Amino acid sequence: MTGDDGVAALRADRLGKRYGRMWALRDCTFSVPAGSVVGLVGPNGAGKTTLLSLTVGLLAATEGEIAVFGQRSRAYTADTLARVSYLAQDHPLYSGFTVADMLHLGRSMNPRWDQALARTRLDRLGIPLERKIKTLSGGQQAQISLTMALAKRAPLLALDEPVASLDPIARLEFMRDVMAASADTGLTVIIASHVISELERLCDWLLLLTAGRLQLAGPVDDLVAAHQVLTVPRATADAELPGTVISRTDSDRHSTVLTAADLGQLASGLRPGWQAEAVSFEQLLIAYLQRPTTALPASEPPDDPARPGGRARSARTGVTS
Amino acid sequence: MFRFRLDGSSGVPPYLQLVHQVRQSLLLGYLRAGDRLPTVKDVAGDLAINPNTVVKAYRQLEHEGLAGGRPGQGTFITAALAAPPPEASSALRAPLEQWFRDAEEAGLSDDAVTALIAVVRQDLRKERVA
Amino acid sequence: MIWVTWRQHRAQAITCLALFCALAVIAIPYGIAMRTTFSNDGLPACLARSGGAGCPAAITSFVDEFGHGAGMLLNLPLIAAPGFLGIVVGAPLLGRELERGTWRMAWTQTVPRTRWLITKLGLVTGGLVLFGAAVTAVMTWYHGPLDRVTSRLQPVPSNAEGLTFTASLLCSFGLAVLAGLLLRNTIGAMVAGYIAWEIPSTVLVLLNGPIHFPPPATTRIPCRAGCPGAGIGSVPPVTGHLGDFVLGVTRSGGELVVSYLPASRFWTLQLIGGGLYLAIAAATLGTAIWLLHQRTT
Repeated sequence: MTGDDGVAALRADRLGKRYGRMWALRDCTFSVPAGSVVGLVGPNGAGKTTLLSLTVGLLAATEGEIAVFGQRSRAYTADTLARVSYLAQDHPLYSGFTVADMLHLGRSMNPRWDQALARTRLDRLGIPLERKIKTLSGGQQAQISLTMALAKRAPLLALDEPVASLDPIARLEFMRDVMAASADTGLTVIIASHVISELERLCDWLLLLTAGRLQLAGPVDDLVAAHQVLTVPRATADAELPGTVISRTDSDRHSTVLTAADLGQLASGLRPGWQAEAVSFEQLLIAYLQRPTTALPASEPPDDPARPGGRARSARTGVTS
Repeated sequence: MFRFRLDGSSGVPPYLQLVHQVRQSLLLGYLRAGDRLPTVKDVAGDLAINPNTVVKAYRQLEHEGLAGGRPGQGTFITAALAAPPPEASSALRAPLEQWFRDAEEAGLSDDAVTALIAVVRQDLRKERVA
Repeated sequence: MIWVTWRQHRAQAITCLALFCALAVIAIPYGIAMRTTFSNDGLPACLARSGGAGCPAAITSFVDEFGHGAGMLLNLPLIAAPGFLGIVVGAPLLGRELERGTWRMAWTQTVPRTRWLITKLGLVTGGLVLFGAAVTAVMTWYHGPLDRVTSRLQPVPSNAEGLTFTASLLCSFGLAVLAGLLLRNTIGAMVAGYIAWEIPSTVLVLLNGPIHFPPPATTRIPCRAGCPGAGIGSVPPVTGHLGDFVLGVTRSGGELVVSYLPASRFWTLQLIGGGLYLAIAAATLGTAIWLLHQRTT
């Protein structure tokens, strides 16, 4: 369903961003195929907004680079801005403008603006053009912002916690429209969220950040298949287990362990009396989010305690943007 | 038009839920050969799920021979799923009742029975895959 | 971008238009009345013939009637206007965008933020220049007859002629825009901008008041047949040249020592005052553009 000619929709290469002495994002490398719906997951302050800002060109990278459909994102350039539709948290709009004014703004400031699409959407949503933005509900304002983002006709849509402030019905309506748009035009979507319960049915690709570092990056199916939940006797849990232990819950006589292990490792490592199950997407996310800040072994850069963003830093050290 | 449902808390992956619903409807006769399934866009927009999930479900149905895509027209049901003949079910019913009585006599609680069924089913599945 | 700037500043533009109309509604009828009296009292002929020496009574009554009338009414607004209007227009330009977070929407359309700012500033500055020029034009017209019997150099606010009104407006605008960028807050930028604007304003008040720069000219007039009882406000001025602004007259020996600002100095003073304001405006707006370009927000 996606006209994929091999160019990644979003590709990052050792991407990093530092504010003063604080690294908001460090050493991020990933490649997202076109047409994906990417969940960008992490606790508050993990670097999600920073990553999105770097993508759309609101920020300049300190190191590394990020490219949208093959073109490197450079801060403040029209080229970069044209490739990404960005919907910020709290969907900012000019409260004194009317809906028609906002559309006019979109038309004035975007060369590739689809006014017909915008009008059709608003008709369907039942939002009259003469209403002032400040008289609309939160859900309606989010829909206006989404309309503007879609009418911009950029190949990548970046949503920064788009439904955080909406009630459940408004949330559902919003996400329905995003999914329909993705299905319709092959739009690549990246959704930053810390509400993981809704992400499973939305996302087929995952980027998980904690404290500025990428813990997981890849297609959801692959990531889920690469982890197993093992139920083993307590004693054995302390001994060697196949794969890398991500999380562990100990009871008196047994332990439940989430490991990052492929089937090969698993087959050779399993013993009788052990139980192996697939992990659910939500369990996987929670396990990684709760983990102390370390990346998967393969992608871990050498740890340098002298570096300001060193390992001991907690996920909440004040970088927000 | 056929409408899907999604149960977010069931623990079953979304695409499997879609496949199950089609199979179920075929079994019950609500879907017949020649019926058109809703477009990927319609399903994604209706349930707020990833379009690729729908694609995956439809592909699974194709793989099982239940549906097929016609270029430019959509995805259509290609075969009816025959419900198991009623005799088969009734033939199996008697031993099942006996087994339940045996289990109760052996002192197994309802939960133990359910756990046992789940374990056996899982082991059998593994056997099939291996 | 042109439409967007217009739409965002539409209310301000309409307010400025309304203010200008209010000014015109007051100044024009008065100006017409002034001109009528001016010709009816035979003042033009008198000034041409004797430089005003031949009709002191008519001049005194004219100045009494019009020098203090509508001019007074317009003084307060004309003092306050450049500072007040400039900050009201300038502070929200960046201040409100940053305060309300709408920059995340405005700067992620397809217009890079620097181009956005330059276009906006260019258009709004143009609008302010237009407004300033219109006000200056009306006040210059209004003041015409009075200027002929008194002096353009008189530091009265309604003497909003030349560059200072417009330049002062642009100065407070530039300061408020920069304050808005630095403080990310509209009200704070208004306060900071106004306070900052008072600095050059005070400097210029001092230069036109206690400390004159350039220093006043001095001339000595020998008294013939006794020193005339000429004072500071006489028409024609003691220097004998219409339009000079006399600051002080003392007797010394058999002479009058007159310290005054020559009429020809009008544009010099305008360039100094206007130049100071415009330099600040250019510096602040340029800094704002440069900072926005450098910053990663």
